[in-house]
Amino acid sequence: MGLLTRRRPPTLPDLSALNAICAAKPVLAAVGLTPTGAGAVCLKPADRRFPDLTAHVDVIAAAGRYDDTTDDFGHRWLTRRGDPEAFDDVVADLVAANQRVIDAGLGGALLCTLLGFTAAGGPTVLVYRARRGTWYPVVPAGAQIRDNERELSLRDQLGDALAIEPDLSKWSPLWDAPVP
Amino acid sequence: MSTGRIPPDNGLRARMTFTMFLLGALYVGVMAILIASGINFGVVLFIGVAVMFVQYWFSDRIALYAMHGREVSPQEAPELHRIVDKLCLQANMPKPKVAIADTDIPNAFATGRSPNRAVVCATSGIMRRLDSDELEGVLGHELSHVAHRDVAVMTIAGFLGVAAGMITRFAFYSSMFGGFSDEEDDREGGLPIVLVVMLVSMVVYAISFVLTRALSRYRELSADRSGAVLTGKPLALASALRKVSGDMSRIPTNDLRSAEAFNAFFFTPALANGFSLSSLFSTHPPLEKRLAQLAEISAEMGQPVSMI
Repeated sequence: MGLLTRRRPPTLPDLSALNAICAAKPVLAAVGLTPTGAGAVCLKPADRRFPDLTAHVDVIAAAGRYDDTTDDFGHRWLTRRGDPEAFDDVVADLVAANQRVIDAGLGGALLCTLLGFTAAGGPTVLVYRARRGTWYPVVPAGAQIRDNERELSLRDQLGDALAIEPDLSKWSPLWDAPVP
Repeated sequence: MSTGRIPPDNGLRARMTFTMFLLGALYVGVMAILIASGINFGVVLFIGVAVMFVQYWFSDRIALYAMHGREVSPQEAPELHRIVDKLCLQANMPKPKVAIADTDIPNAFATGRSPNRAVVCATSGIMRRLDSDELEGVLGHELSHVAHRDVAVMTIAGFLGVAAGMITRFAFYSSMFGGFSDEEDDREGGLPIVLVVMLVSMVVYAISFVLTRALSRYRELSADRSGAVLTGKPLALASALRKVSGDMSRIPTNDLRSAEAFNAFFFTPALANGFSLSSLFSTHPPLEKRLAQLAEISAEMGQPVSMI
């Protein structure tokens, strides 16, 4: 019944597991993931679903701690580049940006949040989707190639400490993202 | 109807099944309209057979076109050619054309009406994911399809299904005409008759569709077996299958930003997970069944399990 009606309330974005990554730092370190200190929030294009999006994000970006860019897909990125040691601060800023978008009633415009890591196998990105409240790894292995084996082993290693997205078909990469 | 060999061992399986079913239904529907519009049944049957024949005769080109594959020279793809050369020598069969489809979806297929007119195609995605032994295992499987003349078998099987649907429709239609033709409103009742005829033929078509899938699954197991015997590396094929049809093949490579827009317009992805229809309709047997068979063959060969 609610499928065709436009007024169906969207599922509320859930930031709890995004916050929880700070507590998972020892596990991340144990599997060889070192934060690069970079993280980013990706927002969907401002269309008629989110008429006030641009104005609200302008205000958030004006706080000055974010690089404000728009990619070829028309998605807007708020990128935070901090000190690798200050991982918690970077996460806190990303959570804050997410929260301000949600508070403005624009939670549906949040696509994902990325955190960059370095590892022995090369750069690794952890992607957080607020709509699903889950994380998944993306390990680039060349131009639009992923190291699936490494990604699956990260899933197994991080599963206890982080809410990992169980549906593998949702593990879509974000090529040429500002992070890592 | 079965258009050559395009094994959908990936997330696209549900969508491809759905597409093939719709294409077949469209075919049956067009035939129904031709018959209902008063054209001689023999003419319609002739057109049907002609379309089937064209599909069979040009199966290599149609499949290559559908998969955006292009033939490659030994200089362009030395590894692929080397493996195909070696396997064809072992199997004592003519070397098929070798093609590459530029897509990240891990897949490979072979098609062609006879071993002399065959083409083997691998996607760039499968070549990136598999090592040399695994690729050999996959190509052994595909060349077995060629040697078994599976394109001919599946075309005939597909045609029998469509023919069954056509005969049902023809019988139904002529009985409607014969039985009620003296009624006054018969001419105005033309459209409902067409609808009923189409409905019945769709049901017949659907049943034959499922049966054709079952035959296809059986032939996949058969190709696994002879491919494994040909290469002598059943475990390499098992390892390849795990990579292209296991967890790894479900991890997408298309960008989240484009995937979001994509999913808004297509409903099949939701169909792909959860619903067991896909196993009923799928052209390939479950992975566990294929792996079990390969393990069995490996044991028969006395091969050490340490290979993978």
